[in-house]
Amino acid sequence: MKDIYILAYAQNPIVADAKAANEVELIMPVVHQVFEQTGFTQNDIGFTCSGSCDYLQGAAFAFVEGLSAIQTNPPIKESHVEMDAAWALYESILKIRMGDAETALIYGFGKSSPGDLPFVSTLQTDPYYMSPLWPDKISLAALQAQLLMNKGVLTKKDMFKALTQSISNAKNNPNALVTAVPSEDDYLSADYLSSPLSAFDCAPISDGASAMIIGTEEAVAKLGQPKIKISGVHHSIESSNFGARDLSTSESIIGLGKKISLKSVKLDFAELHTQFTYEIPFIRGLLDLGNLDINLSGGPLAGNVMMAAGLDSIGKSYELLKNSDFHNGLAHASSGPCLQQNMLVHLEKIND
Amino acid sequence: MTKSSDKELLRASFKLEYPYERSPGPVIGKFFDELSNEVLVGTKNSKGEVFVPAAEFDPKDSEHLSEFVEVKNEGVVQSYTWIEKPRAHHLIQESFAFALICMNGTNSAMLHMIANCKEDELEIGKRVKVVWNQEKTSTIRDIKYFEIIDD
Repeated sequence: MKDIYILAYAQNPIVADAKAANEVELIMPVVHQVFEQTGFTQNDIGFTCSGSCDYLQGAAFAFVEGLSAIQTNPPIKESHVEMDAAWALYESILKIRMGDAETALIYGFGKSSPGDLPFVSTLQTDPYYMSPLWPDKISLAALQAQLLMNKGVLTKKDMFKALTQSISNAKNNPNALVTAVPSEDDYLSADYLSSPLSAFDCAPISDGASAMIIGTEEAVAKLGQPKIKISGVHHSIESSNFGARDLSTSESIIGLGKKISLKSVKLDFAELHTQFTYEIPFIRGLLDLGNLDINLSGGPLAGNVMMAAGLDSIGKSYELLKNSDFHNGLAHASSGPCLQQNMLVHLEKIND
Repeated sequence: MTKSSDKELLRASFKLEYPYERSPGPVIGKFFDELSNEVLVGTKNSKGEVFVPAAEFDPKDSEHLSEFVEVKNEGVVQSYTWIEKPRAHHLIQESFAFALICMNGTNSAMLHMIANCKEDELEIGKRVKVVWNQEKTSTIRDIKYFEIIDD
């Protein structure tokens, strides 16, 4: 099987409200940046894949408009996932492994500001038993947080620590949206939106876009930059039957940790797609990460572009490996209520 | 050149919905039909485990489920979240809880709402019972909400 490397990654500054900026205006700057980083043009790209959600825009086939940000003439091989762009990356990896391409361009974009995101997310739940009751994204997460607190898996103090560490780390990411660390008093006295979660526990509503280029060993060799390899990648999903899932654990995350042989890797850091504070201590425990640095980029709590934030975990891990002495990073992407679907990626710096 | 990000966003009213008619099929359809008769049914797998609301297949091994069993209108709170100030789309506009409720004699939980109580009366393990909606629509909303059973 072909080895696959990340060649470039770029992220727009994350903003709370991109106002009338359209898909093309969000995507084009990051696509140009990854082309500049590699010296590639669209002609050097074998496969292009994007991740986005038309429900965020409130318009059908909004993702097609996004294609105007790249050169599509002469015709290109192109695909789209109605998912986080981490899964567009996954499709691109399969495409390269199958021998259909040597390089791939991936981008994800999302504009959550025009709508009411916690309720837009309701529409991805079961249409018979769940969505008619309008459980919002925050309330579904709160059901899991409450259960974990009740079982003694984590406490509000753990959640506050995860929040302050994330937001303090956000200074490492010039594109981060939130950089003001709240005081413990402010955090503990905040009204709950859905108990036990207050607004502090939820990632901010964010607009933005990110792009990445991946390629084979031959493609990365030409660039003369540190080789960051995708050494392991797997994803899995839990049942759509929400009430049948055991929310006190995550079969998906534990299983993925085994699949990418996490135990045999000496990790330097992890970037987790954690949209709620409780998810950080929760995943730390599930994967037995000990005192490992988590979300050195600030993570989604410092800026959470829907449909790009999972790709950002992978992209930020790539940047960290490229610009530091670190050798092994773990990246995580997720989708669905209460971490229903997850992807784990082991990134490794290869020394020649 | 002016960028669009400098302009105000044009706004239009928008109804957040899936504008589709759905057919519930033989399993979910029977569950809804029974709800409109104020009866709760679940489906049973070959190990004797019962799923309420009725599941079409076993989420663990995908066994096709077609055997129905009636269950009592009472259950136990597995988890809950209290919403002091309901937000835009919530069906109950006074303080209420979303909860995962395991109906007695079943092996899965049902997402629904709990109302008519105070936050400090609610805890994991609390016993609750169905309150029916007077107007039936053969949907999950035929259960209006759950309320705490006074011991």
